[in-house]
Amino acid sequence: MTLLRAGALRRTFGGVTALDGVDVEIAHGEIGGIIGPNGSGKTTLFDCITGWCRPDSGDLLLEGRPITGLSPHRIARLGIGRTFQTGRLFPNLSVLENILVGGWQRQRGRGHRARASETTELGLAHLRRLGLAHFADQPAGTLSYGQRKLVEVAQVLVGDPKLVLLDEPTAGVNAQNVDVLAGLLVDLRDNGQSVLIIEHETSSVTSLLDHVVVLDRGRIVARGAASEIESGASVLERHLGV
Amino acid sequence: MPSSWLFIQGLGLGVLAGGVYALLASGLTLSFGIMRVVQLSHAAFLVLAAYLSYLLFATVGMNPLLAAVLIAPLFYVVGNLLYRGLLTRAGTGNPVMSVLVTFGLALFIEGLIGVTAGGIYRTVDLPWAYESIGVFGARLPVGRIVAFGAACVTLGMLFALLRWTRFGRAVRATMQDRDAARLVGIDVERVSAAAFGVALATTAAGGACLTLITTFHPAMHWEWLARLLAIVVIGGLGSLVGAGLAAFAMGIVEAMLAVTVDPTWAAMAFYLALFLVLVLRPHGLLGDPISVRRA
Amino acid sequence: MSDALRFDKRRAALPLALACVAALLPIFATSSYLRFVAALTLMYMTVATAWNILGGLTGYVSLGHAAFFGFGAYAAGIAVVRLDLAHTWVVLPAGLLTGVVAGLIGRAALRARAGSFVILTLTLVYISGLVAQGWRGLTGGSRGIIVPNIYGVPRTELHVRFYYVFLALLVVTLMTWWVIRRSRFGLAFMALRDDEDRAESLGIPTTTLKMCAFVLSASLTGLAGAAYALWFRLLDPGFVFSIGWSASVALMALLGGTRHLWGPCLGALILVPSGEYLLHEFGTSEIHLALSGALLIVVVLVLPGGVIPALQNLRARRRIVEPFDEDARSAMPRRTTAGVIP
Repeated sequence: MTLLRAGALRRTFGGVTALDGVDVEIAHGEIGGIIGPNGSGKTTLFDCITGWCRPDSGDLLLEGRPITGLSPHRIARLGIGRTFQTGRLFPNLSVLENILVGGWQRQRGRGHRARASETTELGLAHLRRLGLAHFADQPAGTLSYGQRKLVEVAQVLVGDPKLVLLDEPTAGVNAQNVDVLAGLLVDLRDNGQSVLIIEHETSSVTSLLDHVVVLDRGRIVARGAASEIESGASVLERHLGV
Repeated sequence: MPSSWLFIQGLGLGVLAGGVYALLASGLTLSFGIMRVVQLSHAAFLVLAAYLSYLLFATVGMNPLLAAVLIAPLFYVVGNLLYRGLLTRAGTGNPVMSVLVTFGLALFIEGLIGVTAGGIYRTVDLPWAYESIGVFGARLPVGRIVAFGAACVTLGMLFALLRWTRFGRAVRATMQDRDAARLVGIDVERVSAAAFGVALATTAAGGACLTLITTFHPAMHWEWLARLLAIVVIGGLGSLVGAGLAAFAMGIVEAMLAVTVDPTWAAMAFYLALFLVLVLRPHGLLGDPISVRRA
Repeated sequence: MSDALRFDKRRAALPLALACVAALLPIFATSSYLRFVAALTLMYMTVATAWNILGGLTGYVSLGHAAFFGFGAYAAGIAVVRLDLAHTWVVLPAGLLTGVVAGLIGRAALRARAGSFVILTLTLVYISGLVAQGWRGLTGGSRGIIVPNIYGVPRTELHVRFYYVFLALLVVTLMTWWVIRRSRFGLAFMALRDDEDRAESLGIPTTTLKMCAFVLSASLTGLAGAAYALWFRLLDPGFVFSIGWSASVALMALLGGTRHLWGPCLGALILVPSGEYLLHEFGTSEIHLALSGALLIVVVLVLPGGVIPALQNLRARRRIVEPFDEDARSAMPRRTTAGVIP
């Protein structure tokens, strides 16, 4: 069974058609990519999947279950995590606290304090891997853009999601950390978790993509295995005659 | 159904009130368009202007309308300085903080008026203002008619300023898109400060109108603020035409309700309307973080 | 968060000392007026802390708490005068009723965010003030309600009794804030306060949390209002439903520091006695108003976190810079950046 299936999604804002009949599918343990120029609807797609906007038409199924119209926090609880292009953390909380928030929803009921300790350990492990452990107690607002993006990924991962939506995770991140990120994603895939990445440049992360979808002005203009599709520029050249 | 006389009376009073509201709301809309924060001290400046008019009337017997002409430039300068000194400091990022600064300013002005002029109710004693004349079957107080006229004149001048002068165009550009205005070479900071000054200057005229309509006391700016907030929010923040239309609509509804039902419940109409609009508006407004979902 | 509820003896010392002082204060306050000011200060501490359950935990600044205070006050007043329920316990249903009403309007009110919310809370005060003035049959209109003295003791004795009543309410309110802040919900609230949408996208039920904070804040404020009705006994809609009152309460919390348990209390401690002093000396509340306004501006521009963080920063600058060594770090007690909670 596919993990997530989006069928014929349509979404307009005012006069602009952000999504025009978009179909996307992702199975368990897969890493999918979404590429396309600015304004092509990539972030709107993420918004629709995570409940931030309601598609005008089309369906969204998570493990066969329709999720259109659910609030963002319910969708997060169903196992979809998401990062933002801007590296959105809670500026007044420490880096570690930020990560703890990511695991908060898993801590309900009894034994939640034990689970909180687990989350702390897991969070610190991620931070160590990303080389950011010494920032654990610093307010997240003091981090650089690239650092915030990495912490945001850790924040989402600690919630143990089935599907992770990453919005341009490598922007502003140095090459070494991009490799670390790639390593994290491989671990996710091996674990049966899935990732959907909006990407804008080739890197060691894009080489992991199992399949790619190309969006332009709300429409899918190409899709296929990553090996068939090269970097964004050449794809656009080929498919749009740009 | 109210009798036709009541209806005409309500309508007449409503139109007159609407004109004054339109003037007052225009200043608030202007300052919102510039600052993107609701200027909660706008009504306080209104009351301050009324008190200054009163002062000039009580000491040198000056007609409030003439006083407005003197007070307006003073307020312009004050507004300009306030914008530069205070509001640009608070404006960065946090809308709640900016609102609180303007709120603090309102309290400060109210306190200042109370301290210097005392808390008792004051009236500008113009005997002709409270006589009524018959207009199309309604009996309307002369003072309100004159206030309406003054409001229209001022609104006309404001309109001319914004429509036909270079400054006006710069203001409108800044209100529409600050960054774009900067890119085309408009000195956005200077224009904003000046526009804010103009907004406060309109309260000078508004204050004069107030003296012709009602007695005043320091705390009355809250009532006026509520009315103006309702008008400006319902009319669509930042839209001068919308504010104008909403002003007349509210004026008429309020007057109708006051004449047919109870004045207290009439005032409530404003606040309920404001509440509902703030709740139901789908997009972020007043500097709110735009929550995409609400669209 | 495993050490969250461990009782740190050092940290408990200060509050306990304060509690002892507070419990014994009436013995030292000899004049009726001093007792009045003491009780009044405690009342404002309670209301400001209750305000902070909403303002501090969610970041939603309310300028409309006068509506809840007034509602609770009138509920108690009406219960005594028209329903003949002449007992102190009437404050409890009054507070509860305030909470219920808050629950009904909260769902709508909390849909507004940031700046809109502030203005919306203003409308609450306006509307409730108008209802109080308009519904003469129930509320006595603009003349208000005079609640008879149900205790039959002179005023000075009344001040002492209500000193302890407000002290009890204050303890309840402080404990509410403290327990929430220390629980796992505390972290969720701090996240919500920083970035509500991000918190929601991580699975935090922001709407439910906001509603709880709103209802608790309103109930406790209403409770204090009800007690006020029985103590002060004069319910004048102009005072009880005034924007200035709402502003003072918000100012107290902002001044002291909204991220801290004791912030609102500190703010009340600074503003209430000084306000009463000004009233006493100059016989007018206008100076108080002007000063509140000026102070609000100063606090927002200069001390956005309030007095407590400013004091903490002063102390922190004298501390040694902490080492980068991660192992040494893990041995140190974890201090959260969300604020030092005693």
